[in-house]
Order: sequence, then structure tokens, then C-alpha cells
Amino acid sequence: MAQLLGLIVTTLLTIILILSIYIFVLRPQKKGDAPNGRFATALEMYYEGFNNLLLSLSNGKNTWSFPYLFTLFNFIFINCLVPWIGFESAATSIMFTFPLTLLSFIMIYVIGIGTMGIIRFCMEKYANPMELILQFTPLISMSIRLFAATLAGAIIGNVPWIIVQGVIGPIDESEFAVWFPIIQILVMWVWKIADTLLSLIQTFVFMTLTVIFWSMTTGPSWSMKERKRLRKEAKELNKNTSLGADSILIGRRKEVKELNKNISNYKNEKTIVIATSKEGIKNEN
Amino acid sequence: MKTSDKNKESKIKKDDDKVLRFFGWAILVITLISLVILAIYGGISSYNEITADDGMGIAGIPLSLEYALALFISTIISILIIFAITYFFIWKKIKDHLDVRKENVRTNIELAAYKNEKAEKEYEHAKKIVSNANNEAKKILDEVKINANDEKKTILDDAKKQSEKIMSSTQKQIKEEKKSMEDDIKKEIIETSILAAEKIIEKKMNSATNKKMIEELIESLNKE
Repeated sequence: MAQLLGLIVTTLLTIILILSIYIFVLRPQKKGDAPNGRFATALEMYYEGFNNLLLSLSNGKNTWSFPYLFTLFNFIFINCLVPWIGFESAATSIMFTFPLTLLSFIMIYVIGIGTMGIIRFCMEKYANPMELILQFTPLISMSIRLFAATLAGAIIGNVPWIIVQGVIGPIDESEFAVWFPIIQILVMWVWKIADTLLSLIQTFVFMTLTVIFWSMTTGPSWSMKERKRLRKEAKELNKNTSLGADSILIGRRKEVKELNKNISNYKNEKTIVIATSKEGIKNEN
Repeated sequence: MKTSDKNKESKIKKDDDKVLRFFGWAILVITLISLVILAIYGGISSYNEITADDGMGIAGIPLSLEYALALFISTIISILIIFAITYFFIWKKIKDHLDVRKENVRTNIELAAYKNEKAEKEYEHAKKIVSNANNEAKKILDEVKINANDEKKTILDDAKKQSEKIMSSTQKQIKEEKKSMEDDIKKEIIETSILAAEKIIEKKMNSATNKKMIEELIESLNKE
């Protein structure tokens, strides 16, 4: 039951933290005013830094998912800090990391199908038949990575005491039993810092992978009408530029619009316009 | 300004809709997964094959399906609750604060740019006015100089004329004065000389002869 208890403590702590921040920092602040105090400034810096990081990772796609990713990171990070107050981290059970990974994994398909359409998504996704098996890799790798890192930290944290007990016998029965908690406090914080940093890195990796998987699978638009219109535009563009149609089928609306504008602007100046789905848009004179 | 505000509001609304859509999808998916797991669990537990004392299992892998299911569902419920709270109490609030501040900064920059432009225009205008004023002043100064020169010339001419006039009248006056003085002196000399002559030749000549002699003397003096 230790992980469940850790999870409940994590949830309660997170809720208390969020509500405290809201009540004491954000609520008294008027809209448009500068942050009142160092904590509010730090909070805004944290938000801005996080937002910019996610923007660079996702290449500006799926900005609507940033609040979830922010929550995910903070939730797992607080969960990694729970051992400091004597509870076991819920991430030492795969049943904590697996549902989170499952959510990220399922959203890959939701975003992919929602923004590309099921046919185009399947064409893109399963262009390589190996993908039928490989598509489950993120589910396994992501859930096991975080779980294993946290569990390893927890186990290694206990190893010195297991060794000590192996040498001197069970601590409860030995004469060192009184000193045990004191020694534990003095020595273990060093390991706990390393363990927390390790878990922090894994949490960051977990969130980063989620962002990257989601942005990789994002298509041109959530609206079917918009997708049709974009395809039409891309085909017309293809006629004008004599490029491969597929190269510009997957692109953002803004880029395609810009490309069209550039063509109409530079048509008379013998400009070659190169557009690729991955590299974006390049103009070469 | 108003249109940009509207666009921004509609964008925020769209983002909110997307988040809520995501939230809805997540709940739907989780419910389905939970139902599937519950069904599997029901099937398995009916055989009473898997049991464990504490449910902890070995190395974090839970042996009890009940415990695993409880942790699984708790995790999902927890993350969704925290997501909702984070979104409405932290993310949205900070975003609103920053958006308003960004808008304020943008407005201030625009206002400053507008004021700068206005000031530059006014400066140019003022510069023009100053240069015009300078030109005008120069013109006026030149005109004044020309007028002053004319005036000076006229005044000088007048003064010259007047001085000449005064000089000539003075000279005339001096001449007349001189003449009258000369006449007076002549008369005085004559009278004095007559007196002297009378005294000298008092006894030898009469007055008629004297008079004749004096008249001859005066005539000779006039001739000189």
C-alpha cells in the first residue's frame, strides 16, 4: 500500500501547493500589474521558461496541451520529492507510470487522427510495416524508464542498511538500534539528493518524449474542411512550382499561405521555391 | 485595438475549448480502459487464482490485481484532478496576467512610437518655423539696414546743407559785423584823428578847412 499512500500524499500536497499559490500569490495580483514579490516573479519565470521550452520542443504545435504537460511534469516531480518526508514514491510501481504513459500514448493517436484524418494518418504512420510492432515502443520505454529509475533509487537507498544488517544482524535487535535513525538522517540525504535529481531528469525525459511524440504526429488542422482546403492549396501550389505534391501536403496553413504569397510576389523574378514537410519553407533566388 | 482584443479573446476561447476537448477525450479513454480492466479483473478474480497478502509484490511489480487496479485508477484520477486545478488556478491565471501585461507593454510601445512620431513632426515643424523666423529676421534686418543707410544719408545731407547754410549765414553775418566794425573803427579813428589834429593845429586852422581836409582823408582811405 506504500505507493498508493505516496500517491495520495502527492495528490494532496500538489493540490495544497496549487491552492496556496493561487490564494497567496496570484489572487491578490491585479491583472496587468507587475508580480508582487520574489515568489510571484519566480513563478512567472518558471511559467515562461516552461512555456518557451515546450514551444521549442513542439515547434509551436499543440500549444493547447501545454497545461497538461506542465501538470504532468510538476505532478511527477512532486511525487519524486515525497520520499523526503518519509513516504514511498508512487513511481516505484509500474502501475503509476503505466497509466501516465498510456495517456500520452493514446493521445498520439487522438492527435494524429484528429489533425490528419484516419486515412492519411495510417498512410503516414504505417508507411513502414514494422511500425505495426514498433508503435508500442514508446508505451513500454516511457513507462519502464521512469519506473525503473525511481525504483532503482529506492532500492539503492536501502542497500547500505541491508548490508549493515547482514554484517551486524537485524538492526532492531542490535545495540545500534537507537542510533539507526540518526545515522540514516545524516547519511541518507546525500543519496536522496542524487536520487531526486535522477528522478527529475527522468521526469523531464518523460515530458519531453510526450511533447515530441505529440508534435511529430500533428497534422495540418483539426478541422476537416480546413484540411481539404489546405490540400487544394497545396495541389495548386504544386502546379505552380512543379514540385512533388507530397512534399507540401503536410504543412501548416500559415506556411502554405506564406509560400503562395511569395510565389505571387517573386513569380516574375525567376525565383525557385522549395517546400518540404520536414524542413519547412525555403526560398532560394 | 478592439479587433485585436476580440481576436485574442477568440483565440483564448479556442485554446480553452481545445483543453476541455482534451480533458473530455482523456476521461472517455480512461473510463473505457478502466471498464476493460475491470472486466478482465472480474474474469480473473472469479477463478481466485491471483492473491497476495500485502499487494506490494516484488520489486515494485504488484502481484495483487486489486492493488494494481487501485493504483492505476487512482493515478489517472489524480492527474486529471491536478490537471484541472493547475489549469484553472495556475496556468490560466498566469497566462492572463502575462497576456494583459504584454498587451499593456505593446500599447505603451505603440503609444511611445506614436508620441515619438508626433514629437518628430512637431520638431520638424518647429524647425521650419525657426528657420522661417530666421529668414524673416534676416530680411527685416537687411531692410532695416538699407532703410537706416538711406535715413543716415538723408540726415547727413540735411545736416550738411544746414551746416552750409549756417556757415554761409554766419559768414555773411561776420562780414556785415566786420564791415560795421570797420566803419565804426574808421569813424572812431577819424574822430580821434580829428581830435588829435584839432589839438595839434588848433590855433592855425579853422573848422571849415579842417572839415575839407578830413573829407579828403576819408576819401583817400576809402580808395585804399
